[in-house]
Amino acid sequence: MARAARLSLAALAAALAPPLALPASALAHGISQRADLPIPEWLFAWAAALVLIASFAALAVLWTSPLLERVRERPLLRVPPTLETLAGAVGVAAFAAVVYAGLAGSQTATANLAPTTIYVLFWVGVPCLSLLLGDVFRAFSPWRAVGRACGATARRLAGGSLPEPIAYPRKLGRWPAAVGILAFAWVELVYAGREDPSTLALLALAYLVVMLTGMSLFGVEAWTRNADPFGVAFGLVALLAPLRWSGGRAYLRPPLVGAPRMAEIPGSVALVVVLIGSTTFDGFSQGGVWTGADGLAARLADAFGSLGLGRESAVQAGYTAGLLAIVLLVAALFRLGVWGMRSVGGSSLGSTELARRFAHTLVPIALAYLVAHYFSLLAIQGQAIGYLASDPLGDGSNLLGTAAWTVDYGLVGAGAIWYVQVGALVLGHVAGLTLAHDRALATWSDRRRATRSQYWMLLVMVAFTCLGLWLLSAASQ
Amino acid sequence: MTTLAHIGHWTNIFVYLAPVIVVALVLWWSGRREARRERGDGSSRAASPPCGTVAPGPGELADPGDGAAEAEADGDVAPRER
Repeated sequence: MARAARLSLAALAAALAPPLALPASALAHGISQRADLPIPEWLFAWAAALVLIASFAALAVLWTSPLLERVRERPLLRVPPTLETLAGAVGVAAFAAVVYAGLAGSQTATANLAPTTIYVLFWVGVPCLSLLLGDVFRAFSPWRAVGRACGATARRLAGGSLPEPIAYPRKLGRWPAAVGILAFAWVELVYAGREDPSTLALLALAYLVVMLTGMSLFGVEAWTRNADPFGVAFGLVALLAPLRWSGGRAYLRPPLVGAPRMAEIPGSVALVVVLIGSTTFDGFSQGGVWTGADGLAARLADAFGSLGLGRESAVQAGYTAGLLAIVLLVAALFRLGVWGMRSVGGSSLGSTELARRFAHTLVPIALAYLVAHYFSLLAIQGQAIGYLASDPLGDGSNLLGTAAWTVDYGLVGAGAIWYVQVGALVLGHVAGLTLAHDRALATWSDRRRATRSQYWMLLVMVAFTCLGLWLLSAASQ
Repeated sequence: MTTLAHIGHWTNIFVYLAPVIVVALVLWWSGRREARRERGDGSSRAASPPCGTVAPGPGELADPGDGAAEAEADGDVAPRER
């Protein structure tokens, strides 16, 4: 194995020579370059590939038995039950404020609290927080808090007993969560009214109704752990965190070790693939291949327009097709890795079962893509919360005295953003590779065969890394 | 020079795709070589148990104590497949 890794490193180094030998004018078109980077952006992709190969070789030689499947956690502290109730109340108040601002405030996206809170603080900020602090969203989830409050009230009114909820269908698994995240991605990336505050507020209310209906049918815990799209997605990210909250206690554990404990249930692969695919499409849809004058977006819009759709509908249909195609492409890439694992190992496990066993390896990649693509959004646009919290309706009020704050666009330079993006992608993929290697050792009893099965996952990881860096590079052109 | 300038459009994609192609080719060649060597080894190598028959799944390995498996502790409705 070490030989294969050495060969890969040597071959990559040899293949580097022709592009470096090309005259600068040959690279004048197509390859943009941030002025403050010491080396071309594409060279980062090569370096990232080398890091992955070196990590793979080190894992093969030094990591000889599954270490992450059995890790003890240390109880850290007790959490009073009132704290969860308080957190729920805070979540409900924040939800109500966003919905009210969306409906009653200015309909200019940048002047209203709702769009920035939903797309920046909630969608990007909460996963970052979950990586550090564990599944804190679970305590703050407004729909879970409302569901629990409704349940408690109903139980009290019924004299202490309520009919048992319907058993959550086993086959449904995380599929509702995957569909929900895809729907959110569609709103965020495709829907023409995605920045309209009142539309966002109405969608948030609709989401609340769906969640409450699901909780009333299947029970609060069963529904939120399996079918609440945001709750489940943030919960997956929290598996990587050094903290775990359960049963009124907080547990300390090494980072990453929670991921192998991800339940292998239907819809798990679909959920992480949708998470990666939607972020990938966001990056792709900002590049020249998609947005160019003769780009894919224009061609698809023309094609759908020729079917009789209006201009806006045709553009949305084109973007929808692009989003679905990229999600399917990511799924195909992962399936290729799984198929490769099976072919190498002469596996007796079905490909679906094998895919579920390795689904957790995609979680750090999903997070890496999220951080890489949205870090600048969080760092720059996130500052807007300073004045939006003070003037949530955009009507000139100054509730907290911070309405005069502005966004400092120079807070993080383009170079720093690029390094964070590259770092996130490399770290995420090395983490994915480590998880896959450990799971392979737990799945295959023969170590050599286990390592060989991971050739394919290495290829998938290198492909995801290079794809991610190409998207970031293309989006900056 | 004009022709050369347009190479940039293709190299933009190629330079990002190239590491994937290089790694794919090397791993494919290496895997084939190892498989051939294993076949050459004969019965001793063939006796190794097939995938998924020996090692326990993650749920079975999880510590049942305080740090119980995330899936069980979190009360996932759908039980483990394994």
